[in-house]
Amino acid sequence: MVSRLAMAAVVAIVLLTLLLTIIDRITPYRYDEINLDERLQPPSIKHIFGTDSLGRDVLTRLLYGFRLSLALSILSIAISATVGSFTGILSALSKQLQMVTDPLFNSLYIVPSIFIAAVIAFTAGFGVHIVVIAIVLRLLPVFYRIMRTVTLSVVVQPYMESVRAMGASTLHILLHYVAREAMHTVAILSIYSFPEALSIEISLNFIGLGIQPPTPSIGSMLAEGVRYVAVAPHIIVPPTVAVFITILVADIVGEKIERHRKEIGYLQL
Amino acid sequence: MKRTLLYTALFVATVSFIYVLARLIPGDPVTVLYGEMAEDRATRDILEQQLGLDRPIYIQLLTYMGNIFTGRWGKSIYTGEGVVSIISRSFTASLKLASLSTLLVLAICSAALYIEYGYGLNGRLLTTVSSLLSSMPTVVWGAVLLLILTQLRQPIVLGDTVPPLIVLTLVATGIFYRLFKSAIEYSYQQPFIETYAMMGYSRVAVFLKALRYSLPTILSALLYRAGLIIAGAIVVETMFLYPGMGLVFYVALASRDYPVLIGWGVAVSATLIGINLAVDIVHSIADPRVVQQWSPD
Repeated sequence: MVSRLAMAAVVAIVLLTLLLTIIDRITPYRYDEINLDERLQPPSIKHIFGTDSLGRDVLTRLLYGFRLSLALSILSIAISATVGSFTGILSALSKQLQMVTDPLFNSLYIVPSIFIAAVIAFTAGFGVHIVVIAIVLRLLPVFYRIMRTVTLSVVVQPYMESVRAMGASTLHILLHYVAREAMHTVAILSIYSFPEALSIEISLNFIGLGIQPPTPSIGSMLAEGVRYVAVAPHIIVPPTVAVFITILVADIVGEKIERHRKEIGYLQL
Repeated sequence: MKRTLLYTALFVATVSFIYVLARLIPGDPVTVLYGEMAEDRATRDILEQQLGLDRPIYIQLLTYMGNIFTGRWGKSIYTGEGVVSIISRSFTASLKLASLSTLLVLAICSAALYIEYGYGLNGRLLTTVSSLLSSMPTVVWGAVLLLILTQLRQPIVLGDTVPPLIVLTLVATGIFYRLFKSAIEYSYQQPFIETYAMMGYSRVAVFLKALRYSLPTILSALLYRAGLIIAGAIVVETMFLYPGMGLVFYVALASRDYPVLIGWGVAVSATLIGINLAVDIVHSIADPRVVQQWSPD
């Protein structure tokens, strides 16, 4: 039933989570430990992935940066999923609410979220929150629109008339019929928006809008790797490979869930 | 016509939104523009009056709107160059990148699908490759290309069109291959395809018929993607220092060049709105049946 590939993906997720929870214990270096004598060292036994332009251990920085990137992506997806689903479902039921939310979310499609993020960065300072805001602004309209469609498609099913005739209240319908459908959609949509979230996160940190040094992030490590790609190509490889594998795993899991959904006969997106 | 009005309204709303957003940025324009010379209260008042900052915000907004349509977008704080000339220069560069990339994507995807459907090849490998291409962030492919180039000891010409073009095309090909495929599969399910097959059309001819049927979807998606590239392939352009809209944003951001930043926001929003309008028009020409029921997203 469950293929080996999916199994491997799940094992990878579990192992990764474990590894990332205990990094504070296992790394011999701190992520901001500067050692100018050992700048741009290629990989060796002492520094498995080498060192960066300030002599900091690349592996340590990668683990910390990766943990932060993952946490931020997941947090932002959770926020957009919650807010987007609620407004989406409610706006499908109430015309008045729809008149407010529709223009609001549609305008988010037009104004680039990175621009809003930049303005907020100037006003409120650079930092982690900018990343979260930018991702949420991008994903929110997507969740809103799809959850709205799902709700509408459930409400117009023929069996809903008999449910109504049996005296079910709107709340009952929401909890027992809409929520059941919505839950699966949210799950799969969240997994599919993961690459998008990670990629926004990387872009923001790449151009220096997000997490500020010395805190490492995948984006800023990539930016540094690009700068030193000719003299020290080992800096750019680890973050690239990490992103590659993460997204591959997310893709496999997402596809498995969708196939499972198809087998048990849920509505298609 | 109604849509044009709608989009104009949307544009006005967006510009106001951007202007208000930009005014939220701390630091007042007088200090930014004239430096510390304007410490004296009376001088400041005169300068504010000249800039129209003493008037209420809605009047300022109207003035700004007027300026946008008459081409007075202000000057870059940093280089002193007019914002209009900066934006139009980089816009042209981005436009070049976007149109080349779109053409390439169209060619590659049609070729791949032509082979798959016209000659009945198994598309499993193509599907895997395309999903790999599309789900990775652009940064990853940029980094990979950069690595390959340096390892091959190839000179990287900064500002050259080719490297960003390759990266953008790779990613877009992945996305479009999937989209093309599902659109074509859908049109293959239509009854008229069977009729054509029975009429004795060759596989290639049938494929062309199916392509024509799915053309509206494909064209809209391509246009939309081109819009996104113009709007700023920020990371790729920064990575290879390609002088397009993305790099303008990056430089303006790094030097806190507010007039350029606002100009960028306006230009990008206008582009996205324009693209949406173009998608509507193209779609209604390619498929006249769906003038009313279809909405862009």
